[in-house]
Amino acid sequence: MVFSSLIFIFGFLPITLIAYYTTNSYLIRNAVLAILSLIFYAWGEPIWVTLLILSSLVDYCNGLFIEHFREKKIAKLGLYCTLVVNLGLLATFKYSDFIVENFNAIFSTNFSKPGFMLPIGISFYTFQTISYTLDVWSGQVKAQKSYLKFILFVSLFSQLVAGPIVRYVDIEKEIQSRKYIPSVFSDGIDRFVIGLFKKVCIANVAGELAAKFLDAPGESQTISQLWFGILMFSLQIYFDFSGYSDMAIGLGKMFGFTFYENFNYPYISKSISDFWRRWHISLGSFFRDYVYIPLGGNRNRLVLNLAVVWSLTGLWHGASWNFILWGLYFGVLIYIERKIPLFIITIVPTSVKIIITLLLIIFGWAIFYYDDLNKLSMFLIGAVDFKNKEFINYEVEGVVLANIYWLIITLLMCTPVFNRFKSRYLVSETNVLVYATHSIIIITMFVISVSLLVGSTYNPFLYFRF
Amino acid sequence: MRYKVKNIVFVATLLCGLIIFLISPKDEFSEIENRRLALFPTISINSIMHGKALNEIDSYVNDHFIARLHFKKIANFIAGLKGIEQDIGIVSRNPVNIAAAVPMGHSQSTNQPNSSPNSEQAFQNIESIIIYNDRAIQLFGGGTKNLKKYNEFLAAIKEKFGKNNKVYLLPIPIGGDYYLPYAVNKGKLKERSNIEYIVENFTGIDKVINVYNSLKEHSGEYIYFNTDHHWTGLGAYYAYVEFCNNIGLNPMPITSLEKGQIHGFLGTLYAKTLSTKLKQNPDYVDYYKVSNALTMKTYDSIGGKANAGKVYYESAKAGGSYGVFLGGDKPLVIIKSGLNEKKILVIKDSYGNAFVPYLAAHYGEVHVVDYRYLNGDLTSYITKNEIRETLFLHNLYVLNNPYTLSREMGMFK
Repeated sequence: MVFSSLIFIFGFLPITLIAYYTTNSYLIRNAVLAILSLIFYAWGEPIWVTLLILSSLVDYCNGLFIEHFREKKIAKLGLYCTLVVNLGLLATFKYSDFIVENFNAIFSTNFSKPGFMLPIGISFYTFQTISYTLDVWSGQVKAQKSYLKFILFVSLFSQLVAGPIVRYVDIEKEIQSRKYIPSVFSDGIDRFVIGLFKKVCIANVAGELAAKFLDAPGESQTISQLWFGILMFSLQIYFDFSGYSDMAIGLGKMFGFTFYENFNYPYISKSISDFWRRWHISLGSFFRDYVYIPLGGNRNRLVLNLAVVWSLTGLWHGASWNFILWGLYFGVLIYIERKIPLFIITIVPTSVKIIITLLLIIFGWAIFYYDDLNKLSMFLIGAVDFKNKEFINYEVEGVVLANIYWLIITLLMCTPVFNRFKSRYLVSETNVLVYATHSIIIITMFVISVSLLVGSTYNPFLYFRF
Repeated sequence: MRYKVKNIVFVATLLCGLIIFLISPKDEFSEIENRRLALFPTISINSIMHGKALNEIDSYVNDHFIARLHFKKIANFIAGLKGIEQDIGIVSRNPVNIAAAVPMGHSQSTNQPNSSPNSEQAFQNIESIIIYNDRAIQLFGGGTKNLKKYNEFLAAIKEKFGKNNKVYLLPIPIGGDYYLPYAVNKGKLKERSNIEYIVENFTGIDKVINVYNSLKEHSGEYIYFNTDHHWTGLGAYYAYVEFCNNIGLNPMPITSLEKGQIHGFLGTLYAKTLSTKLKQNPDYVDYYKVSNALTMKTYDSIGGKANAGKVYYESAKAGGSYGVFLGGDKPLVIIKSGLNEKKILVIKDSYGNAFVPYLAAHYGEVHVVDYRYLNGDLTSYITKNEIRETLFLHNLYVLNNPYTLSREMGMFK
């Protein structure tokens, strides 16, 4: 099931909210959430619930095991177990085709690809359970004794399918006890509606335009259509993913959970390093805390550490060489940024930094978009083919003009202007007019989003292949 | 306090949505969209385990959601606000396979062609479909490079038959030149260039009939469909007049022909684009009957069994309305008028269907071959049947497509 669907909004969500709030008992509340979350997950492909439960059982036991044998050598077994099982699950169900392909290429063998279907959310919950076990190992948290509470942590529907990657330590307290605070619930509603709007009204529209211009790069007529296409994809992936994270955070609030922000206006980043502190923050910090720093961070073997972390970051996004290339692309840029002399950084105006960073990011999305390296090279050639192609034609011009108001709003939404406006003018404890305006805006966004959802055929979710 | 109110209103709204959905009666069929609405799936352990039942429940909910059509109207309204509405709608970017994809008359006649062409092969030189002034227009992308071989092929046929057989070629414009706005074609008339090349170079045959200017003169009239890739009965008529003038026949005045009309035609370009503009302005098919005394037989192969056929399938309707002409594309049909002993062989694509009936006013027998569907030896067919005139009648896409040449070479070994 996806959040941006009628069956979720007008079916699953009200049922869950009502079932949850009819009782005051935490035990029942947690049970309700856990069971409904599993149903939510199973709704897409029921058979994969088995893997989810398996991974959670394994790490539940690992946590208890490590706790029991704390300070003893054997506790390390728990550590190895979590890595082997979870990474093994990923290797099997996500990467086995990729592994076999490359093995065949290197050793000239002809093994057939297993062709496993990718279970939804596997990249998220395996990382969540790994982080739990590692945190228990390092003593950051005590192992959770109640399996109910543990499976709630793993399967909570708001963040299971598409993040953010929530660490156990961050919601440990809330699993034990949550309060209903009306203003927080209300914030949750706002956040959910905003996320839904981003997904349905911005990301889906951008996605259709992107596909239109990017799907046959070898046959492109103009240069601008390729750039416009990639720009649309950049918007699509940001609003798709951040919209989903918004909905996750909003839903969390409705049930008394507080999740950290996963995005912080990444398209106004002043550098690539800055970008990765603003984009999919929960993933970046996972790799930083569990891979980069344990490897030594920037204290020794900087180049190797960067290469490892960024290849993995890329690889996490997809089982294909272009993703690894994409990750390494950022690794290289980050390395270069570290070597830029300080005086240059201070001299260059912020706007220039932002523009350069944006160009680098957008170019990166081209590498990300084409998992067929052939098509990628056709795109790259076409994008600068001033000799053979005209720059712009009636088609691109027409499409831009036909979407110009939407485009302006979307670009503004990449910046904090709306948020700042809201904080200054639309938040007031006392003013009824302000409250009314705020409510009308939210209601309008909700109605528009639901309208666009009804009968729409194009409603993909990109980070769904994780 | 106000937060509590808002929270309750929110949950109540969602709950109302759910309850109203559950209790409201469900329609089975959507008139406006012309399709069946999803049924609630049968639940079984098997169908649940593989996610099929759940997907179908999703479709069911989507199709029967409360006030669905009202929401769609709102959505259309919002979509219109996204920017400045453009005159020119660009719809399809990829090469479009139209002519061979829809064997006309497939649903109506009982005679199915023996072999359907491989759709990949019979593809068109189309860059995209433009919607302009409520008309769907295809862009003709071809240059003249494929014409050289076709020229040689036709010249060789003429040489083989010599004086015994007159060979004509009538290239048919697609219509893009007449209707595309300047912004799209920048004034470059590719179809005209293509036809001019043909007129100049195809000197090995008896006549190239150039209908470009004649159709251009009449382009303000209803000579091409708005929602379909074919020309109309009227467009074919003007080409027929030009044909007569070129070979010394006296064309029938159109006023002497009995006219029939089929309303509500949404053709191939509508099917491809699903454009609301096209839907709101459907075509109609006018057909001008040469005579009610024409007889027609259809054949799946040379020497095969003769099946009954009609020159005008007046019961054609809806998306198949163009099938009024000959009942669609058949491998071989023979129209007999009983007028005289003259015979003509026409090798055509689906545009030809609207044209060949007019020939029955001048020839006792009109033999019509569809280049896609007939396999056999036309050289001996022409000799055996004592046919003295052969007309190659193709639209510019088909003419410039190497597939056409390979098919026809196979028939004239």
